[in-house]
Amino acid sequence: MLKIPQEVIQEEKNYRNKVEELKNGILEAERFKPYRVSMGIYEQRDNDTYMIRTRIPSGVVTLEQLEKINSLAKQYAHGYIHFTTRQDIQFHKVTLDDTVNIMEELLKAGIVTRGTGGNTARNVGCSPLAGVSTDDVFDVTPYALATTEYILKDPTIFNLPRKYKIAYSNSPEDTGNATIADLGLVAKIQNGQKGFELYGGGGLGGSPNVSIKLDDFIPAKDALYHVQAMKELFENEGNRTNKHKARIRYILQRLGEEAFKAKYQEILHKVKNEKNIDLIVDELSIDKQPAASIEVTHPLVVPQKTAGYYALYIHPENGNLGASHLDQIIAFIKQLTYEVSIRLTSTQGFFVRDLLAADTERLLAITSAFTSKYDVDNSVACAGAATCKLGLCLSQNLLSAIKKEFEDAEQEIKLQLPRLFISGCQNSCGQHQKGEIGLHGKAKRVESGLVPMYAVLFGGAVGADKAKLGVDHGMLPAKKIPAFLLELAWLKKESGLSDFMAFLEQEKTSVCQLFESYSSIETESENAELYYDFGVAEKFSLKGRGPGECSAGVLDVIKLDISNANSAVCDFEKTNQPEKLYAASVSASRALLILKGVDTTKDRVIFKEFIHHFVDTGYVKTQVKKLVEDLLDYKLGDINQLDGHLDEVKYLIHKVSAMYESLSPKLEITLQKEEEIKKAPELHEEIQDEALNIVDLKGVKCPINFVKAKIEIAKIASGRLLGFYLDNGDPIANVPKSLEAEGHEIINIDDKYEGYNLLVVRKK
Amino acid sequence: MDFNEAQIERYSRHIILSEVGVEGQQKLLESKVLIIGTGGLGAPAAMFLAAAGVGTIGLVDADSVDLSNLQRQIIHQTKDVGKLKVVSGKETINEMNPDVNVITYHTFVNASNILEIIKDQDYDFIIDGTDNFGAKFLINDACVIAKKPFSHAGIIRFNGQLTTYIPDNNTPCYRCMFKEPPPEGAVPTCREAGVLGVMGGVIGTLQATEAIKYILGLGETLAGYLMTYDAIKMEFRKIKIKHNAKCGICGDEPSIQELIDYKPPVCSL
Repeated sequence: MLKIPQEVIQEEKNYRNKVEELKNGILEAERFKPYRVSMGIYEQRDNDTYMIRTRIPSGVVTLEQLEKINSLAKQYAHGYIHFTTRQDIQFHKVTLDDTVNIMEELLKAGIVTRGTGGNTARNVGCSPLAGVSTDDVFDVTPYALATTEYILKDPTIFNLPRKYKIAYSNSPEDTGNATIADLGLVAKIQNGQKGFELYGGGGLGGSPNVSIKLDDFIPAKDALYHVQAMKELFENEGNRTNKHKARIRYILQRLGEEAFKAKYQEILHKVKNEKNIDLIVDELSIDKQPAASIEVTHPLVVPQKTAGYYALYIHPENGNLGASHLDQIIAFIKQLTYEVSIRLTSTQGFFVRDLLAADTERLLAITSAFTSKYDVDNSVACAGAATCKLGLCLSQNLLSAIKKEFEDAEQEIKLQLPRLFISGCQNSCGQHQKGEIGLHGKAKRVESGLVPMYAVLFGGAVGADKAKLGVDHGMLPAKKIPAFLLELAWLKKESGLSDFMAFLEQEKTSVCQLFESYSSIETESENAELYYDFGVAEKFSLKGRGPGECSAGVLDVIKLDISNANSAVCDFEKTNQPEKLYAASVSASRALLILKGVDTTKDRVIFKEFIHHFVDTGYVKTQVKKLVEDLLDYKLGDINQLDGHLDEVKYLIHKVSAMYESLSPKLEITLQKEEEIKKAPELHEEIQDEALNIVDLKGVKCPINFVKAKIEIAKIASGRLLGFYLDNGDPIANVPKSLEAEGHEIINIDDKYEGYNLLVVRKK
Repeated sequence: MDFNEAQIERYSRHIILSEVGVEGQQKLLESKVLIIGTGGLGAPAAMFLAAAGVGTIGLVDADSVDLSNLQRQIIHQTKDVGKLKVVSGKETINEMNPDVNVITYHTFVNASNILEIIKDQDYDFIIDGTDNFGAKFLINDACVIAKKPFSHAGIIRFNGQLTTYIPDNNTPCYRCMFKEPPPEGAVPTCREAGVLGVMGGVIGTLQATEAIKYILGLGETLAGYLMTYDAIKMEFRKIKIKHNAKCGICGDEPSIQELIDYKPPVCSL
């Protein structure tokens, strides 16, 4: 079983306290959210219901764990579990209190949820039949599990610019999705040595691309150097200010393939010099002895490489498995006299592996009651608008409707279509770009109203040297999709071709015609049905849609504190209540402490830590210590007023904002320290040498002071210095920042004057 | 390049923009824009260009202000009815922004005077605010010949369109898109068809935007595109247009050697 680091266990145990703090009003909801999300708990579309996502590392789950999960589902989550497209299990529609109970119970079974949401390394993907499939190059599971252990040990992994997806495959067929991952490792043997073909920079979702090949062969023992190198590349180059453009594929798109590879190699070289993380995997596992038996042929049964053993695929509709069904499966496995293994897939189902022939048939007899043998029925559909805040369409209801459409069709028709991949929106939780047929939800506004639509993609694939994204062929009204697919299946049957892509190629014209015939959107009076999504009595709308949560992170918390500080200052200026000024100081001092690992609500600790981390280190002037003393005196009731401190508090907020804005991709403060600004001697000389011209902007209000500063700067040559007198408060807080944003260099801000400052600027 | 206090305040919201700044505002003050037609399109274009501080604005129009103009031609007031449009326009502009030097041309443009008017102040940019096809083709051909950038626009009922021509840039001209004026009566004129008053405001303001951006060298203009606006559907579209090698005025072998007066002008609002 996975070794869970103590820190992670502690953090999970602390979740209960956080929920208590939230309920008692000590912790604001906005501050709680990133914390909650990092624990794999997302708020669903209905307020106050939550989804909790486990980390089933690489889909490897024991029977005992599955039993535990099932009992929790019965107790807290409406008696069902959901299998995801990242080899995980989720509980849905859970209350906040029960998320605590579930987390604590899971921990007892050795299952964590930490890092299944938020900006971190997500579940490490792995071929579900690694070690047993007939095309198995070698068993990559131990490597995938070791990778999970490695990343969980690293506390900095929880603060990446965005998610980091790693995947392993046991053969070039890439059943682990390594060729569409941020880092993908595909098993390969070269000169008798185990290793991987290395891929990187891929991903679905917005601006998707398949991975590029980074190396033809890396020795298997080097895997973790690559895991580390890609992580550091992400930290160095990832976009932290725009979460929508943060994933590693955007770095690839920005730098281009050559520069990306060069940068990667450079970092890899450094990592290899600095670290010793050779991965030595226990090679003791012995292949099974062949077992004599009858042969089982069934679409859901995969013969393993050792003769006589089988893996049975179990795919509940939409990945949702009821507890009673799972009970039956568990009970069956329990009475077996030998070990079987369970592996979750990335297709919302799971395999029971290492079954003997007769048992395979017996288990199949049980699961047939609630599964189907046809690929189209075993399609993938994300949760969609049913629960997800980002969802547009009800993707799972579409899949149910498709199944219904095919229900009465003859067997041969049911066999025609490959598995569909359906996402409720353009974000690819249903992995629509990887399917031979992919669908993703859209909304189209026409004169009579909003219509739920799906974009139809054809031809996606994963695999070493053959991964490609599906191509968008246009969109159809959601309500016409089932009939369209049924007719597509008929067309394919008539063509006599078994391969779907070959059929598309040969019958291009008739498929296009078919597409056309289903694409019209009638008015509401002609065809009202089109204006309703599947299974809903209400007209289609975007109601309930909201921003996604999965990227919530520490930067949101910092922004929140700074904005709280600024609004408290505004309140003070209106009301003159000293507690507002006090509150502003607390918020400002607290904002950046999260980066230093300090998380407290105690004012005294906040001030102390702020001084320790930012005043004593020179980022903020030492005068702030005096301000803090007065603030604490005020809090104790020793003084009643904080008048005269407004400018200092504004300075404090200004500095904190500046430090925040200066954060590097690695979250280091790059702002020049106050002392360095003061001490830079050559600058002072230069200022004196030049007999600095100073423009007096005292008494000139924002933004006219900025306008005048620009006019004066326009008169001097590039590279020359110019000084400005600017009043305390808004002018000194705003004008330097604005000039800096225009590209000019702030040389010095001298505040030794009474009520105003001397700003020295070098023209760009 | 000294701004006085009033100018600093007047143009402060421009100067703050890093894309305009001190230098950009200076460019605007030194720029010269000719507006042909002081009606539905020309009126708002002139107002915004004047407000923006375009230093020299030429106004061309032979008409006088009519009460029926006031539903859309916002540069003229009720007291101006009967006054020459160019005079009324100049007065409004000078009251709003004394920095602007307004030059008036009390005439319609025609084949024999248009090149002279363009050359009169060596205008940097020309705005076609006319309402008839003859004038539109004339302005197009004259600007191609004189190598002057210009903004074409037209409005009718609830629809409007515009494009921008920039010489020496392989930009399609108006004639690249439309070979010649439609036969008389094929398209209703404003007087027959009516026009929603705001159409000139929307499209004329976009023309002013194009002029300002051209002067500042800022962003992308509509060169190479025809933009259409449907106020009923509230829909803007941008249609990509290629230069037409067979264009009668700017093609490889231009057939038009001298300017044409298409007569009679269908409508002279």
